[in-house]
This record gives sequence, structure tokens and C-alpha cells, in this order.
Amino acid sequence: MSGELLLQVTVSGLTNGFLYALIGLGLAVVYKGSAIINAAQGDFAIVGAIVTVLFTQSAGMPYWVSIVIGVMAAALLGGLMEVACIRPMLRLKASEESILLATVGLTFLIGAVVLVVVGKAAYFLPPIGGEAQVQVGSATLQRHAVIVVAAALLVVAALAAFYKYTHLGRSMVAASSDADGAVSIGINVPLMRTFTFMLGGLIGGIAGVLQTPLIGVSFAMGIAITLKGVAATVLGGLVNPMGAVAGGLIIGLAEALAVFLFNSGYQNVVTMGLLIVIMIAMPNGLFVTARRRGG
Amino acid sequence: MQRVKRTVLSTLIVSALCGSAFAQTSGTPVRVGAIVSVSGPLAFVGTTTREGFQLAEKVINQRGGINGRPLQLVFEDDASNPDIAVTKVNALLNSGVVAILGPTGLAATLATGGITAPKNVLQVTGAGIALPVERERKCLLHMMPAQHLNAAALLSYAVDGAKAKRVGVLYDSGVGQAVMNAMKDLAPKYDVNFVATEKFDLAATDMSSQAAKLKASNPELVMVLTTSATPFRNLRQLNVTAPVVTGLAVAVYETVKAMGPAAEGAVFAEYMVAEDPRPREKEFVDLFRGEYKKLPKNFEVAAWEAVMVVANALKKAGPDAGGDKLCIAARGKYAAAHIDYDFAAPDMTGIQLSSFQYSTVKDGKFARVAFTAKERP
Repeated sequence: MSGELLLQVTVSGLTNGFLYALIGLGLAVVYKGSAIINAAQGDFAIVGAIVTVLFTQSAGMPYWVSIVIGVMAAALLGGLMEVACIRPMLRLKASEESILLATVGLTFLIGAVVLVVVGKAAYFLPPIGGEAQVQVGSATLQRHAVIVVAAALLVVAALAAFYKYTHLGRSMVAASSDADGAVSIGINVPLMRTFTFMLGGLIGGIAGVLQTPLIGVSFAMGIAITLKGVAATVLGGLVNPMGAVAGGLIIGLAEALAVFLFNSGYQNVVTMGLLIVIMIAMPNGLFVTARRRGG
Repeated sequence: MQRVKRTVLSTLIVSALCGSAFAQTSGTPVRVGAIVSVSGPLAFVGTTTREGFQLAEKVINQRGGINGRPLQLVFEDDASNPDIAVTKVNALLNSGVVAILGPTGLAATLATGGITAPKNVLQVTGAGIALPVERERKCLLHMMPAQHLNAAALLSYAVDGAKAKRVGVLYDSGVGQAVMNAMKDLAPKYDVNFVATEKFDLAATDMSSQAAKLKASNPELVMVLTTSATPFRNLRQLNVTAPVVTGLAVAVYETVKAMGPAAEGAVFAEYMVAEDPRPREKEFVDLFRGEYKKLPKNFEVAAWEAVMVVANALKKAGPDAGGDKLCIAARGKYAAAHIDYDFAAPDMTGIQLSSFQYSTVKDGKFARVAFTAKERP
């Protein structure tokens, strides 16, 4: 196997890894702000991408305007999900498992709505930056793939700054880490949870818009996308959004290198085997030091 | 008001005139179960299949039904899940349907055949034969070819059409795996050397690493065996310049649209080029276009013919004949709109390799390719 091929699959793996990282980042943000694993995270990507497709291809609006509308639609869906589904369940003291189950149900519901609205076809968006290609050494990649990497890094940096420097970001962290304390200093905890879901939706929407020129979007993709994100998040540590980024990159690279080193039929076996080994060695994830409590 | 009256009157006159062209049906409907995957990963096939079923039901009833009785298809969605398909088939049989159409997927067909075979219930599916065990199921008829025939059609084009010997294959773990297995058996006959065979999971969203590995093997021709548009885009993204040949599973308008520019120039081994129909196909193509305002492809015509096969058997054996009598009536030669079948043939379809038609995509539309596949001794 040549160095040229190794470089090509590594570049492909990194591109996919950043896409997984964005889904994982959205999941981790929601978990960090609400302690809820949102199985419908992949559907934010679907909705963000499909709304962008509708506005740019059916309504004929400029691409960038459509992207903004698509991403905002995903953010609004996140807020709606929290207000209409999560909040009433929490009011009734629903267990974590019940809420997880509800989000699993939502993924099928959203998929069905997308099927009814746009049908079964897979849709693609034009690559951001056009069809131009970039040479990285001997490897070829679309300019869009470079934009994926840059956008993912930008989202990560913006998120870190948001939590650290903004009043809203700090309030969201406070509401999730000590709800009673947050209430006592005047923070509206349910509203912060709504914002958390909107932020998760926003990141999911960005991921959807970035992935659609590469792999397309269809109604049935939500759960598959979520599963990659869950793997990335668990690998990095559920409560650490930045860990999800590292987790996504590891999975993307592992998938690519599995094809490079072994028969491609073993891609999933090799990748999942690696995840099992990492989770046995570091059961709390790569970047979390907390220990599991209880039996 | 005057305008409404005129419209109603015109409608009544037209209905009266047209009514004489349609034979009347009466009596208890003859109920046939139809399992389709209109949700889940196979929905893109299931929904087109349903269109073929529904058109056939409508036309059969317009032409007098089953010996004067109306044909009624009872639709069920298996959500692309073989377990659900089994449940639905059991429920349909308990409800008294006389035969089963479908299901959509290979695995679901395999699973449901295990129920209909012991009961001698006629089942006609759009799926091809995936495993040898299905050849023992004499009441299960397949409208698509056995996988060895798909494989031979692809290999014949590679060797005789594109004059390529060094072939790379990108295939999925579903239908791609089934065709790949058959191709490995046939490769020595066609003197083809597989320089790379790269597999990807049916649920995979990106195959660029596999495409890169394929490109590195420097093939003269690339075969893509899948139902997904994504590997075609991945090949284009990596500037793979070798000609691309693929099967009928992706010869679907929506899939080709999803491929975008990557579809241009790809060659499809299939059964229906509706843009340029042959005389025997014209009636079906016109009926389909009249009903749905679009052109049909392979899954639509296979579904239409599946209903016709069941209807013919019911007419021959009688609408109330069940079990083995219906199966015997269905087995035998049948000239469909697109190809000739012989359901009593050893491969259960009797489809000839020469029945394959070849097409390519030019400006987003299918165009016929002048090539006839050749058998190898």
C-alpha cells in the first residue's frame, strides 16, 4: 500500500471525523446542559439540510440565506422539542430512560414528517466553495471538505468562548450543574434548558448543511447519524463537548485506516473493536476523570 | 353556476362514453395481500413498487377483473424489516387473502417464503433469488433475475462491451454482496481479474476510503453494486476516470438525480429504457406515464407484471382456487411487457441473459446503449 493512498484515506477519514464530531458536539452540549441523551440529534441535521434544500432549490433563494434559514429551523426544532416534549416530561418527574425513549420516538416521528414533506429521495446541496478540488500532497479533496474542517474548528472555538465569556453561556452551565443554586440567583432554569436544546439544534443544523454536499440527506438517515455522534460523544466523555470532537476524529480516522490496513469488509469490526478497547481502558471516556458511582 | 352545470354535464357525458370501454366487475372482491417497504431504507424501491401494483390493479379491474369479480390488493408496509414482513404475511393469510405480492427486500422475501412455501400459497415478489434454498419454493415466483444473471450481464458488458479485464468492484453489504458472490463464481468464465473488491456497509454514509483504495488499484473499469448514490459521487470526488458500470438497483430516476454529475456516462445493465421503449413495452410505458406523469423503470414494470401473473393464475384456476392449484396455474411461460419468463425453468424465472438492456445517462436522462450480453459456455 502506498503513502499516497494512506494520505488519501487519512484526509477522507479526517473529513468524516469532523462531521461525526459536529454531531457528537451537539449531543454533548445537550447532555451538558440537561443531562439528557438526545437520540434525535441526527434529525436536527436532517431538518437543517432539508430546509436549506427547500429554500435554495424549490424557493430559489440565495444559498447562504437558505443555509441560515435551515440552521435556524434546526435550532427552533430543538427549542420546540424541549418545550413540547422534554419540559412536560420533566414536570411529571420522568426518568432519564423515559426521556431517552421519547427522543428515540421523536427521531422516527421527524423522519416520517420529512418523508411526507419531501419524499423518499436523497437530496444533495451544492458544495460550499463550488466543485473546485484541493491537492493535499498527492491526495485530492473537494474544497468543500476543507470548509467542513474549518467550519467544525470554528464551531468548537465559538462554543468554548460562548460558555466561558458570555453571560448566557455561563447561565446555561450554572442551570445544568446546580439547578437550585441557579434559581436562587435568578436564572430561569427551564429557559436555559430550552436554549441548550436550541444550541444543540443549531450545531446539528450546521452539521447537516456541511454533510449534505458530501453524502446527501434523506428522511431515514437520522438514527444512523445519531449513532456515529453517540459513539464520538461517549468516546470523548459525555459531559465534555470538546471530548466529543476528539471522539469523532478518532472514529473517522479508525474507519478510514481500517479500510487501508484490512479488507474493507471488516471496516465496522475494526472500528468498533477499537472503541471497545478504548472504553475498557478508559470507561469514562478519553477526557473525563470522574468515576462511576454505585454498584 | 351555469359554468358548474356545464362542467358536471360534460363530466357525465364523458363518463358515459368512457364507461362503455371498461368492463364491469361485480361480486365479492378477490383479495390479494401486497407487502411493500414504503418506509425504512428500501422505501425508494417500495414506493415505486406500490405504484406498479396499484396501476395493475386499476387496469385489471377496468378490463373485467378476475372473471368478472373485482381484484382488491390489501397493502401492508413492512418498514424494510424482514421480521415485520413475516408478521404482516401471517396476518394477511389469516385474513383470507388468496395470494401474496412482495415483499420488497431480498431478506424479507427469504423470510416470508418460509411461511408461504409450506402452505402452498402463491407468492410473487419483485426481488431476485438470493439463495439456492429459494429454488425449492415452487410457489414463490421472482420477477427479477437470479443474481448469477445480474452478474453475467455486468461481466459481459465489462469484457465484450468495454473490453476491460482489470475490474474494480465497490459493493454494499445488501444486494451488492449477493451480486458480488455470483460474480466471483463467473469471473473465470469471462476471464476477468478483480484488481480490487471493496465492500461497504448498507448503512454507510461515505465510501471515499473504499473508493480511494479502488482507485489505487488502477482498474480499467469500475463496477458499483449498490442501491445508494453516494459511492458514485465518491468516485467522482476522487477523480476516478475509469468507466463505471452498475446494475438495475440504482437505475431509478431519483437515485440518478441524487448522483448528480457522477451519473453521466455510467452504464446500467437493466430491463426498461422507457425514454426509448421497444414495441412490446410501449403500452405499459404509456399507461404508466398517463397515470403518474412520469416514466417507469425496472421496479415499476416488475411490480405491474407481478400483479398480472397473479391475476392470470386466478383467472385460469378460478378466483376461489387456492393453494397448489393456483401455484400450478402460475408456473409456466409468461410473456411480460418487458421480458419473457418461464417460471418452471430451473432458475425459477427463465429470464435470458439477452433480455438485459443497457443504458447510460446523458444530461440526466437514460439513453439506450446498443449492446447485447453474451453467454459464456
